[in-house]
Amino acid sequence: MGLEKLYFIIQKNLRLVFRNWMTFLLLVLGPMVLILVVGFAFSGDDLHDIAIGVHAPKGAEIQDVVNALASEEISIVYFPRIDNCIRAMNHSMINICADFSEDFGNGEGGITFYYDATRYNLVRYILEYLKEQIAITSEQVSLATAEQIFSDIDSFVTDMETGQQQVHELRDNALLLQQDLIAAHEDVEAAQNAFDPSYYRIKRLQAQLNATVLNYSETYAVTANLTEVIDDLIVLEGSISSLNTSLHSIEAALIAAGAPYNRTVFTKAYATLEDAASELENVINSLHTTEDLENLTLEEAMDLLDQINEIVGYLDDVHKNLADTELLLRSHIENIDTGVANLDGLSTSFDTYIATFSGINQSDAEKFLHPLTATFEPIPADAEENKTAIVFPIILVFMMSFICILLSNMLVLNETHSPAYFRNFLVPVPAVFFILGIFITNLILVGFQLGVFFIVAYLSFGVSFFLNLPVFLSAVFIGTVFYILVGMLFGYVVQDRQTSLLFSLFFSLIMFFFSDVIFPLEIMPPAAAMIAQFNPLVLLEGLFRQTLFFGHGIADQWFGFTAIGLYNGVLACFVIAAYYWNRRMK
Amino acid sequence: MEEALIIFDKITKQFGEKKVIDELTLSIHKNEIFGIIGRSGAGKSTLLKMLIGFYKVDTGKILYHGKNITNNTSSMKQIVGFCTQENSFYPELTVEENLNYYGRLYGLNGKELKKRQDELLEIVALNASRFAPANTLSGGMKRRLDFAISLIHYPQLLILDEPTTGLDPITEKAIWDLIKDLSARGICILIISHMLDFVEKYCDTVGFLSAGKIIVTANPAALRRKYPHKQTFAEVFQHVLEEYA
Repeated sequence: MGLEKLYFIIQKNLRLVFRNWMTFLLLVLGPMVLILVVGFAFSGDDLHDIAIGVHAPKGAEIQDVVNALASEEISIVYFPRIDNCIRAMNHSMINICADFSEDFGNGEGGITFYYDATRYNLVRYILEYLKEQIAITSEQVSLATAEQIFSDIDSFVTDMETGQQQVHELRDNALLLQQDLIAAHEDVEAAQNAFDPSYYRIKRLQAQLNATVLNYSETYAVTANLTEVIDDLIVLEGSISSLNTSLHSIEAALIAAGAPYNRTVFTKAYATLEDAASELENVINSLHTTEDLENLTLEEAMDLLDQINEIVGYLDDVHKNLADTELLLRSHIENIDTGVANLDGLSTSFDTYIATFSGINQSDAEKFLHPLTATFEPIPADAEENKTAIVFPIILVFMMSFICILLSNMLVLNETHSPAYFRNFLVPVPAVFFILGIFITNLILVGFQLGVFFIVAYLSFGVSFFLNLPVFLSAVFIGTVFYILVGMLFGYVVQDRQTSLLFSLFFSLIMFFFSDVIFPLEIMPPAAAMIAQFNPLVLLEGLFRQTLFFGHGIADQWFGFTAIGLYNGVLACFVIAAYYWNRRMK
Repeated sequence: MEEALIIFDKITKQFGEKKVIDELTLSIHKNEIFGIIGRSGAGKSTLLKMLIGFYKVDTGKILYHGKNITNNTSSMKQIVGFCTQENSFYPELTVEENLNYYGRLYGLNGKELKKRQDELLEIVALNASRFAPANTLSGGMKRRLDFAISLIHYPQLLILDEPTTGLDPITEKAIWDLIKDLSARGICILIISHMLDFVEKYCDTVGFLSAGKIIVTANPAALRRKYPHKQTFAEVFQHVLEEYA
C-alpha cells in the first residue's frame, strides 16, 4: 500500500511535468539538440576563414613559406608595415601577423608572429598550424640540403669505386710490366752470360798482344797458335751477333711493355756492335792471310793490336751498356714492387672509405635530420577520426550536471512553491515518500533524456557504449543520483526560486571551472589539482572515459565509484534534513 | 446535545517561556459548526496546528470519541480535514486528478474513490468542471474544490481557516451555504474566521479564544440575547474580551 502511494506521487509529478508541452518538448528535443549541436561543432578540426597578415621587407624571399601557409581556407594579406597588420588584427580583421626579416630566404632569416592572445582557443589552433607548416617548410629545406650532401657523398663513393678499379688495373698492369721486365732482365743476363766469356777472352788476347808487343824483342813465346786465336775471334764474332739479337729482343720487350728505356743506349750499342763485328771481320781476315804468327813483324803485331784495341773498345762499351741495362731493369723491377705495395695500400684505403661511405644513401637524409624516430599512436586508435566520441564523456558529465541539477531543483521548487505543498503534510504518507517521489521522478526524466542522448550519440556520431555497458550504466546512475541530490538540496535549502536556480547554476559552474575541462589538472597548481581530483565532475568524467574507451570495471575504478557513492550517501542525508527544515519553515 | 466528537482537555503548548495554549478545554460535537474567534496572537493557528498534528501537545489530552489521540499524528490525519486560507491543490491538474491524487494518498482506491469523487463533486457543485484544470476555475470553484479535497477521506472534523478570505460577497455567501450544507451532511466543522457576521449566522457554537484559553463558549444567538444592547456581533465579541480580560 505504501509503495502504491509512492507510485501515485511519481505519477502526479510526471503528470505535472508533461502537462506543459514545452517541458515535454524540452525533455525530448533538449538532449537531441544538445548532442547534435555538440557533434556538429566537434565534427571538424581544420582551420578555416583565417587571414594571415604578412609584412616582408624588399629582398626577403618569402614565397615558399607563404605558399606553405596559404590554403583554400587560409588567406594571406600583405601589409606594407607590421604596425598596420597588428592594428588590423586588433580589429579582428586579421588573425595573425607574420613579420619576415630582411635577410629571409635561402635557409636564413626569421619570422616573428604577432598573435591576438585574447582569443586563447583560436590562438592555440593557429599557432599549432603555423608551427606545423613552418616546421614542414624548414624540414623540406633541410631535407633538400641533406639530400644534396648525401648525393655528393654517393657520387664520391662512385668515384672512389672507379678510382679503386683503376688502381686495381694499374696494379695488374704494373705486375704484367714487371713480368716483362723480369723477362727482359733475364734476357740481358743471358746476353751477358753469352757475351762475357768471349769478351773476357778477347780482353785476354788483347793483354797477350800487348805483352807480345812490349816484349817483341824476345821470342814470341806467348803467342798462341794462330788457329786457336782465329777460333776465339770467330766465337767472339758469334757472340757479338747473338748479343745484337738479344739486344733487339730486349728493346722489343721494353717497347711492348711500355717500360721506360733509353733508345740511344740501344742505338749506340747496335752501332758499336756493328763496328766491333766489322773490325773483327777485318782481324779475322788479316789473320787468315798471315800464315805464321811467329814470324809476325813488329809492325804487323802493332797493327793487329790496334785492331784488337779498337774491337775491345767497342766491346767495353757494349759490356758497359749491358751492365747498365741490367741495372736499370733491376731497378725498374724493384720500383714496380714498391709501386704495387703502394697501390695495395691505396686500394685498402679505398676499401675502407668505400665501406664507410657506401652505407650512406640519399634516402638516409630523413634519418640524418631525424636520428630518433618517434611515432605517436593514439589509443584508442580511432581517436583522431571520431572527436565527438572522444569528447563524449565530458559532454555527458556536463550535460548530466546541468540537466540533473536544474531539473531536480526545478521540481523541488515547483513542489515546495505549489499551493498543494501544505496539503501533502496532512496526508498519511511518510515524508520520505515525497522526497523519494521527486528523486525517482527526476531519475525517470533524466533517464529518458539520457536515453535519447545516447541513442542520438550512437546513431549519429558512432559513440559506442558496449565495451562495458553495465559498468558504464552504473557510472551514469551514480552520477545522475549525485547531481539530482545536489539540485534537490538547493531546492529545499534555498527557498527563493531565482536564488535557488542561481545557486544551482553557480554550483555547476564552479564544478565546471574547477575541473579539467578547460585546463588539465596537470597544469593546475598542485594544491588545486589535489582538490580538483575530488571534484565529482572530474571523477565522473574519468569513470565514463575509462569505461567507454578502455572497458574498465568497477574494481579498476574503485576510487571514483567509492567517492561518488560517499558523496551520494552524504547528500541523501542532507536532502532529507533539508526537506524537514523546509517543511518546518513552511 | 449529541456526544462530543472531539474534546480538548486542558491542552497546553509552550514555545520557550511563552505559553501559547494554556490549559485549553473545548468540546466539539457532531454536526456542529464551531467557530473560534480571537484576536491576532490569541493562539488560533497554534491550536489548529496541534489539531492537524503539526505541533505536539505539551500537556493535556485530545479525545476522539472518547479515545485519546493526543500526538497520534496518523489518527489525527485520518480524522481531520483541513482547508487553509489559500487553496491547497495542484493548479496544473484537473479537478478530478486532484481528487484522485489525494484520495489515493489517503488510501482510497477503485470504486470507492470514484464514488467519493462523484459524491463530493456533487456536493461542491463541480461536476461540470470535473476535467477542467484547477487553475482555470473561478475563485469560488477553487474554494469548493479545496473543500472537496479536504473531505476526500471522509474526515469527521473539517477545519476551515478563514475559508472565505479574498472572495466576493456572493461567492462568500455561497461558501458559507456550502459549509452549512456540509454540516447538515453530518460533518463536524471547526471554523476560524474574522467574518463575525457569518460566524454569528452560520455557527452553532462560538468559542472566544484569548491568551491561549477559551474564555467563552456559547451559541451566537444566546450571546446576542445576553448582550441585547450590542448592535453587532463584533461588539459582543469585544465586550466579552473586555469582560474576561
